[in-house]
Amino acid sequence: MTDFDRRPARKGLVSNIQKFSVDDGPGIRTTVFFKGCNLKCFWCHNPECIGRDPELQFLGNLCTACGKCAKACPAGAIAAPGQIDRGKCTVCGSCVGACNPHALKIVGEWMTAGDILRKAEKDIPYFEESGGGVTLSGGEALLQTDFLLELLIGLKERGIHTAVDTAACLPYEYFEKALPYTDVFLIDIKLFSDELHRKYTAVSNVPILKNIRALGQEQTKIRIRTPLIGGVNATDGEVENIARFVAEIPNVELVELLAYHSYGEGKYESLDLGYQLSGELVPSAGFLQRAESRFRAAGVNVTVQS
Amino acid sequence: MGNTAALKQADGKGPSITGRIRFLLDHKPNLADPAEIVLRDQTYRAVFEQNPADSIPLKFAKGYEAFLARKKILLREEDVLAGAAYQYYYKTTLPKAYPDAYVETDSFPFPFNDCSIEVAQAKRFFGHEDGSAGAETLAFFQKGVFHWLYKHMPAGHIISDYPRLLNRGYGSLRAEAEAELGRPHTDGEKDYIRAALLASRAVSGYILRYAEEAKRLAAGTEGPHKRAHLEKIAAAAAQVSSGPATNFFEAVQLLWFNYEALYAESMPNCISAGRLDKYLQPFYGKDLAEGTIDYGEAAETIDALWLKFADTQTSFQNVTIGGYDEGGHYIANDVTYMALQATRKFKDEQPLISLRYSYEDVDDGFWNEIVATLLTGTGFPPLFNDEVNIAAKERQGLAPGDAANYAMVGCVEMTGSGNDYSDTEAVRLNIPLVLEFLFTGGVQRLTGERFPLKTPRDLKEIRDFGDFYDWFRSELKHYFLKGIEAAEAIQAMWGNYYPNPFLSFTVNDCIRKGKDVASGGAIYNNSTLNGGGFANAANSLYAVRRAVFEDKIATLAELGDAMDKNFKGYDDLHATLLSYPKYGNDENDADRFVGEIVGVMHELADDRVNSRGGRYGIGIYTVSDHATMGEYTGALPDGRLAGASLSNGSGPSQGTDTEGPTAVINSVLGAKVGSVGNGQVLDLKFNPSFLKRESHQTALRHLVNAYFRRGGGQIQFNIIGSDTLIAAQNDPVAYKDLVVRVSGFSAHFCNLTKATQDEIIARTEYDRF
Repeated sequence: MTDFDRRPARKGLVSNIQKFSVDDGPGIRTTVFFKGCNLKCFWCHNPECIGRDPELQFLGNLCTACGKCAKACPAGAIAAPGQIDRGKCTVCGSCVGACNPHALKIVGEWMTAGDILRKAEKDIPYFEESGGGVTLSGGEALLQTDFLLELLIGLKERGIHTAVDTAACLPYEYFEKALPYTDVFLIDIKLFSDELHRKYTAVSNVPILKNIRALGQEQTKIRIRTPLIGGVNATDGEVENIARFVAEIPNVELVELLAYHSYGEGKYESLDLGYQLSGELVPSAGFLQRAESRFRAAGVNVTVQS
Repeated sequence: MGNTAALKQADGKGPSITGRIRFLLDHKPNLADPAEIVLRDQTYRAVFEQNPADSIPLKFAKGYEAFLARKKILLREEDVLAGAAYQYYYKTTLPKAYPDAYVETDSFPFPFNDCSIEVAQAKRFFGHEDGSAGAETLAFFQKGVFHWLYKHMPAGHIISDYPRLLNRGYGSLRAEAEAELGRPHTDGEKDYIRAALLASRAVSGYILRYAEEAKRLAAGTEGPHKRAHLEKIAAAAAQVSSGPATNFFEAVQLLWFNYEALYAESMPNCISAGRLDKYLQPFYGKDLAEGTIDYGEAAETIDALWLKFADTQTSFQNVTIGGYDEGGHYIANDVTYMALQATRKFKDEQPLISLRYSYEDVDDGFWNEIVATLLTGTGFPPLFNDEVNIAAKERQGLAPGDAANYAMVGCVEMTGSGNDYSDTEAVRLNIPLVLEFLFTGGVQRLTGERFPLKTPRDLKEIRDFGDFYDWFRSELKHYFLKGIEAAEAIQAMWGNYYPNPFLSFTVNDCIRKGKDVASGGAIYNNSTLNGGGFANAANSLYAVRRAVFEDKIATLAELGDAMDKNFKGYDDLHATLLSYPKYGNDENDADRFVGEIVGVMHELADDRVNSRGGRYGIGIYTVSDHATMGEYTGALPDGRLAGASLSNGSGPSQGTDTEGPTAVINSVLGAKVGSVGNGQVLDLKFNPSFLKRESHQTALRHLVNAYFRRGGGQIQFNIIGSDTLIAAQNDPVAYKDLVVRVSGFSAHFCNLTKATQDEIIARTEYDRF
């Protein structure tokens, strides 16, 4: 936890704020991506949100190979454009300032709740029109608890609908703090098999399922999101188990089945991270249809995003 | 609303076309016949020579009469509607070159960037000696138009009074005109009314030629169905040649005949159809009640009309659908649906359709129809905010009932229906070029042409941004005023030298006044003041303030030198200029300047009365001029390179809006451009995959509603094709704002790997219809 001890007072580490988000809860939303996660999912499409410090990102297709970055680096961490010694890099940002084509950028900015609230307020007319609001996502939004609470309270003071997008692998106390200010929780059930869950996300799903059951007894709404990945969880057995589990949670208003897409893969390269999945990852249309029917048969409101 | 059209869509397969329409689609007639141009030219010329003593309007009416009697008509056995508008557009010589020496030429004498004939004629009309102030202004304007300091497109942009025509017919209108001759009028006015009567009789005779031709064809046709239909056409043509339309088919047929007649008379420049669904619905409703028509048959007639519009090619004929009537009831009737579906079936760029939208009264069924049409990727229909625009037209002087009936001409210009001549494309100023002139002392960088400033100044003596900004605003007014003055002179010349007696016959109150539409004959005779490149100008003003006066990283002279060199050797300065905040991201830095430039235009326009007693309306749309104007504009302080496109309409500069559509809309609203009288364009990009999901379609609707509820005037959607994505792949810097919303999230296209980009390109291609 040393990373967070270095945090400036009452600021949160945010990797991105995406306006006009239309797939992160009801309506038109502004999604705030918190940086730092306690899971390591193989397919994570926001790998820049996993680490708990600001990180240097290199976008190769914007690079003109001018070499100014290497000259600007005080730590000698850039041998040549795109060749970054992550061990030496202190994420000081000197290279970013020197990079005219913006091929280098730092992901992760320490922001105050006020910074974010000012930005969120501007889209209130769209929230009101669409029944939308602000989604706090990540990374794992609940990890930055104090910051999250300050934000949630600020949003509620402004009458803004709130969603917390979480992997739910935390002690239940985290939820208890957020509950009074959260209109809907967006929670992933990535895998029902604990063994596979451990393999692909580095954590057990036991606390996750337990938290969902507990939230099921609270006055809040839940949306369950399940990514479907070929060769991982796109099997009839997984779908069956998840559907049966969800059907027993009374306040689940929607299950969103998200077919795997490759759009996050480029980010791994930009962060010098390896990508661990391969093969036929996108599930077939037939399978998606079957999965959807299965949830429907269990009496669950379900949508498929492919 | 109980639309049968909604039921037609229930199978989810979308609208279909009949075998007859399929045949017409596959066998398009060739309407670009050069012989027609020569015939038209020679006929008018002969008439002018034979009638030297006649007034100019009478000469034009007689030339028109002789031409309509001789010109080719085209009717085929398979035609659903009679009529064929030959494409005079690019090849018109006479009557517009009159009275200059005849030169047989294929070239169109009034191209967009050449107003030399108009300027010469205006000088002649006003008797301006070379070297006089009037002649100087016209010469300045002519050079400006040629080098895209100004855009000028003459004439057209008008709507006949179709409800009146369809319900009463030419004969009844003529009786009214005859009666007018008995009222007190000047000789010139009576002469004009006689010319208009003559022209309208010529049109009636012309329609009867179609009746005869249909009869002749019917007699020689074997097939009973074809024969019956040709007989129907013959009867309809005979009826509407002078009488009113008595059913839906006749109404559409008369609408087209009138169109064709307008095309034969004048440069067919953005002649528009007005509120087609509103005035056709009563005919359809009556036929439906009598059991003589059904939805499919009426839709086939509309389809045939759409194909006729499409045959005339790029002449910007606008059809307005949807919107409130005079009593505040929102119209989205069966004909509205037929129009949207016809656009969807043919995916042609003609006719343009414009949809008057209401965030209160567009219901789910109609919204689905709109989305289905948007998804074809043609950009149709653009949506216009009735709640704001009706009020804007009232402010411009239209009576409440007339404002409620506003309709689009050309691209997005809002005029009254059948009573308004507002010369909507008379002047568009290249605003960033004015900024360039401050640095060059009035020299256009890319051409070396001189356009003298009102107050030349030494850049070194400018001490603060306020001083610079005041100077800019003063010069902006200077160039706008030059344009206004020249356009007024040209306008006056048109009505006197190039009258359109038939067009005027169909527009209120030309006959009652005995005046041509261009001479103040219409009820509303407004003028317009358009601008282009708002975002570039605003971003540049902010960049000057920051770079020169706040960050002090360059002097004005150094910045000018960097612009001269297109930033070669100024890489770091260029990068800094590019990194400054830009309009369209919902930050006040650059945004405020857009609002203030529009404010300067209001200062010039709001209280100005033109020579025809009309008012001025502001236009914040650029057709495709932003690209051409960009080719004539050097590098700008916002970092835009020489020759690159300027910003489109009221939108951000390409590649500089990085916060998404809600931020763009907030910026546009902040600039208060929604309530301008001559129209505004906000173009948002979406890719087709995004709009396939219903929840995304709903989000789009909410986006539109939130924008309009807060005063937005217009919005249109640019559905991105794979060609754009490939361009972005090759030039990521120019497309850094390009967001693809394909699946569960949005991504900046240029941040994706090549493989993923290729996948999205392939998918977009697949999504094409």
